[in-house]
Amino acid sequence: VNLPVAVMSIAVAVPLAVDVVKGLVAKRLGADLFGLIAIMTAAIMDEWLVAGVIALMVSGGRALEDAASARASAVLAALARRSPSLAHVQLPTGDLSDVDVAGVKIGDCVVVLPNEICPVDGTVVEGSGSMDESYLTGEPYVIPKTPGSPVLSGAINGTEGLVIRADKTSQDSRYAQIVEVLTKAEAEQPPMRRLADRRGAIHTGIALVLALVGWAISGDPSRFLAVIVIATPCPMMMIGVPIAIIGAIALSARYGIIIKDPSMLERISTARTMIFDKTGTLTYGRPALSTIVLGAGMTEPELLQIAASLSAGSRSCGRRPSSRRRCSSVTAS
Amino acid sequence: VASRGGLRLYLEAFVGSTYGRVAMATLATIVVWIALTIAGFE
Repeated sequence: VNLPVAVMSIAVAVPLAVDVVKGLVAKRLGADLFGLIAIMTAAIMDEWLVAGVIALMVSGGRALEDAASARASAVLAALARRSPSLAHVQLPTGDLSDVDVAGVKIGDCVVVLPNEICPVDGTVVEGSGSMDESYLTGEPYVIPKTPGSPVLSGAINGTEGLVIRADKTSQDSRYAQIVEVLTKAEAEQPPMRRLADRRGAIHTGIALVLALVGWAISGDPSRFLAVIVIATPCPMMMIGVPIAIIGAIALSARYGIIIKDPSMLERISTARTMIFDKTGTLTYGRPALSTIVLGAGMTEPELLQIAASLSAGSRSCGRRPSSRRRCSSVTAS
Repeated sequence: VASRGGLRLYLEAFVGSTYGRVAMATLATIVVWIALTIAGFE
């Protein structure tokens, strides 16, 4: 009867032991050490149900923690997936050759077809059109491009094909640099730290001493196990914290807030200043007309006509088609 | 992401990770263990 529970406990204990050893090498004592000691003690004493319950708590907490952490790297993966991989290089004969974006040399003429992502930073040499650089700059404008205009890698070309001269290689271009900065930032982020991990050495030391004292006084090794199991910070810290974090992510998502790095939730209580990059963060970057409030003696068509006329010569995002969907029949004058 | 409910996030966390699958298997094993013990198996 004990065999299946023993197998599952060992299945959890082995990777846990590897993590504990890694932590000890890095001079870090955490809650995992306690979980491991509890499982091992229970196994030695043939208390397999105890070992199984501790293994369940450890693995459950780990699963929730991994799921929360995985969300941070999903953003980076999306950026990497979006990065351009092919470039249409124009040969001296005028023909196009599809080459790997890393193979584009400075001075090469590259054709960016309609709706394609610009592969390298460069300058337009032929064609006129527009590019959406909002992904790179946050500004919700479509930037007109004519010969001589600079273009950024990662920008989305409009409906006209453009020929650009590569001013930088793909590795030195804007998009690759953004991905590199994000990759570095993610690698340097501290992992989520459980409350028990922060108490680490003190908690572990005190509990071990108490367990040994209990065993020494009673002469009964099950007292050692009892203290270790109770001191194992499973329910509240190992599982409680990841559950709270997943709950916070789900609740935030319901309100349209995407949390890219869940470990921020643990540090937010110490934040004193918040800095917002407005476009695309607090706003969608696509303004829309929601309400029209008319003054005395003014009709809605009149007002829309005046507004359309005023915005006709403006680059403001307020004149984008999406903001004027209710003005389709309005003629600027 | 916004359309995902809390329960679905928990389920994804367990189904989508190795530790999660081990946790579910451990839970099932414990339930079987308790049932067999109650039934009188040694």
